[in-house]
Amino acid sequence: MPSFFSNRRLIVLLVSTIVMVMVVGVTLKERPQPTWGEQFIRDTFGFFQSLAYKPARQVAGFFETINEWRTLYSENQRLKANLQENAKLMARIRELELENESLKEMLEVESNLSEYTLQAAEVISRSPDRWYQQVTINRGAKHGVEANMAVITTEGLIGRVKSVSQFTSQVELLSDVNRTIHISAIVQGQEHIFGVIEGYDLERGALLFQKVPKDTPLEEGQTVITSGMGGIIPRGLYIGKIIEVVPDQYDLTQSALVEPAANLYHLDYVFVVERSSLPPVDIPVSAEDKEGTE
Amino acid sequence: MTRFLFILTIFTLLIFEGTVVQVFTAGWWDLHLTMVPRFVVVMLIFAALFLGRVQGLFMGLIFGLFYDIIYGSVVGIYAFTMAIIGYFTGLVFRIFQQNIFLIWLTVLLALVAFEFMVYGLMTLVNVTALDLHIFFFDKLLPTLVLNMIFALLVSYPARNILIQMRDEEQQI
Repeated sequence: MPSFFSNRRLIVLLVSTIVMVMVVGVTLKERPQPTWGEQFIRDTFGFFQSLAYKPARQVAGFFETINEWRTLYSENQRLKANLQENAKLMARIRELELENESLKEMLEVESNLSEYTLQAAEVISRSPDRWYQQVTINRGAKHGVEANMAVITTEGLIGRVKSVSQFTSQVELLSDVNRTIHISAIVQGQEHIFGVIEGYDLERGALLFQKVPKDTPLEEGQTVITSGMGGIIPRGLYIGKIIEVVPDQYDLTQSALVEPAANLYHLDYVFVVERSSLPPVDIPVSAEDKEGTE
Repeated sequence: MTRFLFILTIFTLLIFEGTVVQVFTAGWWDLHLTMVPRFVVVMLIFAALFLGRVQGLFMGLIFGLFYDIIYGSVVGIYAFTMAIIGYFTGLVFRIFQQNIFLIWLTVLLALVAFEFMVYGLMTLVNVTALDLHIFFFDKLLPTLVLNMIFALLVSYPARNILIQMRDEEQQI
């Protein structure tokens, strides 16, 4: 066996360690636009990945369908019951929307925090090591995707665009612990409760909704949506429901565990959310309202 | 020619890890058990065992770099760890390749070392904050099971191909 650490090898090992530390340090920061080399490699592999992913998903889908046949009848009954409820709700929503629009016209509000357009995209791969919780989608800079845009499924918010190549982009899922960007969110109760989603509890599988004043009434089962205050994410995207309320470490604020509504494991089709009206102009608020809230 | 096919196989495995394998493992094991396919690393360990440490080093560096770029965002972690694994498995190549059980043992030990190195580096750069015992029981053990099954399946064909490759190159 050759000797492990001759002088020359030791030096090579040291130098390569230093080089690694340097490269890691340089690439550790947020990089919405990777270098052209990385973009090229990601796009090329993205093409082959999309070729491999589709048939595999169809095979998996076939087995799932067989599995689902057993529960079909009871599910059908339940869905029929839901449908009636839905029709009622839809009528009510339509009514409220019309009312909302006419009221806004009266107030001459131009910008709307919750307006957005959706762009459909397909998931073409997922990082196999679960250290990075991220997926790759087949839409990139050429299709108008930009960094930090929200990504949703029909069930709810799943994450944000982390870095954009020409034809693919990487989406960071909500379950990534190392989220540097916090999501400003609202709890829908009697009145809106504002807070920040920062971090993810791996063991519970839930998001941490934090910085909520201590005396606000947080309850289990309340709905959490995005607030649209952070800039690029529009208002009103569904995040999930509160599953537990816990007091903060120092008992000054309280925080809640929010279970994401979207299934972060079964991802095939997603939507990139493009906000239609960017910087929010100041919405006219009367002096009374300003004093009233708080 | 054999070398070209071998490298093409590794690239195909690299693509499969993130696509086909994910379809079949992602939904079933919730967060609690994660099986990470490390097929590329297993092939790299085989290659290093039969072709020696220098080739192991460079193959590890290149495949690690690709892995970093495609599936991660921090460049350097996999390039470094895979290069180290390739080099150090290459050191034992003359001794261990006679016996298939010794090859399996080497693959197992190298995989454990690899996973721990990646875990350490990911913790160091704050990509993850997983506890050691959770990592060990929920992630490392399932991963080892999956990859050792893969290693058992491919060990004979991989050995034949790599020995043929080495012989071809010695003739030239």
